[in-house]
Amino acid sequence: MKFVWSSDQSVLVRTDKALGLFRGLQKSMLSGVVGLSPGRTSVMVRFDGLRQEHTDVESWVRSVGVGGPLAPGKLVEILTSYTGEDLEEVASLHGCSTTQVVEIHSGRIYEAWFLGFVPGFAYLGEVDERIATPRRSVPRRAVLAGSVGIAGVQTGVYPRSTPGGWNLIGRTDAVLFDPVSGVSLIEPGDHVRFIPQ
Amino acid sequence: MIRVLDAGLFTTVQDLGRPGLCHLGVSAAGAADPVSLRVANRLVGNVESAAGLEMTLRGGRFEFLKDSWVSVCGGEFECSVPMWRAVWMRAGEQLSVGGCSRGARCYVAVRGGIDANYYLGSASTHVLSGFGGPVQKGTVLGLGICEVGEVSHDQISLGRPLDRVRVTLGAESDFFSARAMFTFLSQSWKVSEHSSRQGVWLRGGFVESPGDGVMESEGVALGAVQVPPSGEPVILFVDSQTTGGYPVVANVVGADVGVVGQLRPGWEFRFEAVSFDEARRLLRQQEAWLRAPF
Repeated sequence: MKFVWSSDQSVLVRTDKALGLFRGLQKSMLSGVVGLSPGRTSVMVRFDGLRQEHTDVESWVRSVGVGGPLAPGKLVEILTSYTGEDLEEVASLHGCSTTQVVEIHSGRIYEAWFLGFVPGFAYLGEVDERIATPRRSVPRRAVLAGSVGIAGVQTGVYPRSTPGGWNLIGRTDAVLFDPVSGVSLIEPGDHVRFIPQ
Repeated sequence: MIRVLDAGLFTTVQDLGRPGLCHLGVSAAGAADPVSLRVANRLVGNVESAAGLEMTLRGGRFEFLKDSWVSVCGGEFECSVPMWRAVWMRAGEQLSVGGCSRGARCYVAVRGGIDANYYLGSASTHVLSGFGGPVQKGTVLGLGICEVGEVSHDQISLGRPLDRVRVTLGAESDFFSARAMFTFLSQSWKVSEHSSRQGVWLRGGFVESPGDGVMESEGVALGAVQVPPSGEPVILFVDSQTTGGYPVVANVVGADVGVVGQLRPGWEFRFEAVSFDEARRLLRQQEAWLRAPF
């Protein structure tokens, strides 16, 4: 583990076992720590600078450690109709048919690396190189809720209508985030499979 | 109860935000200048975290439907009542907040707090997340039960320079070249008109970003100063998404978050690097000032 003092009230912890560390920290929260955001290879620990100092937060993180083998996350199945606006463009960009794009995209189980952007938006990977597609150069002003997109080797579902730059290949009716309970359908470490409808 | 006669340019309900849910992609939101909101609440005897109205650049007009204590704190706005003190408004009277001559935002606190919808434990509006939206003309806002103490009769003055924002340099600052760091710290930066609660976009210089300028997305702290490939820094602010993918050159200190909330488009300022010890001292000093009896 490597510690980076990212601000006066946060420490960025770099580790290959970010998910294990995140889960461990969540289970034994230290008072004065106000938020944790896992990335693929890091966990950002935000704390209240009036109640904690960097060194104490670091000791806590070290004592929790990255843990043993990870308990597998739950499997989330997302019924998807592959009718996205960019499906044909993605297919032609890679010289394959739309059917092949659907087969390749729905043909593997993805891991939820982390959540970000808006509540419940999980960055899933890793998308097969054969359909990996860079973000659109001009983002759309509005992407409909439930849109399934690809950006580079990441795929994901827009929980609500927002601006967005991902290539849209499908749609789902799944509810990704409940703003009343705060429950997110996909959590960090979960596995996700898209099921063509 | 307060009727909104004119909502102003961009007025939202804000309290001190919902910081604990970043792992689900939930932005903390909350007052862009938390110091001013906390003072405004203290003046009318509210708990400091009570919800108030945050107005941006041009304020609104409000009719009080019931006698109420109110206070307006923040940047220098044209205002029908004196700012930075508790004022007694009678039913039928209007509070009118106009243009802003210094700073960018001000807060209206009403004794009891604004009774808005709570989303995940906070009344703070976050438009992108669908947690509320800008206050609309014609709306009648209810009042809550957040009063905890006496109304203060003090006149507060918050002497706070807005021409410098203090930052700490992180280990990642080492990835930037000496020339890039010199530009970042010596340049006067101008606030772009694209700035919002999500990010404060800066103009006026080119900070060379390391590598190809794009990194793997990871968690970012409030006030992280990112450098996209354009070389013009962006301060990630209260409504920012919880992860970012550009190199971070520095991070605004906790004590100066409220200063960032007062940066208006066209305003020029400089960054000033301080040590982590100094940042901690500044935060404690500010808290001691806020907690001292008015």
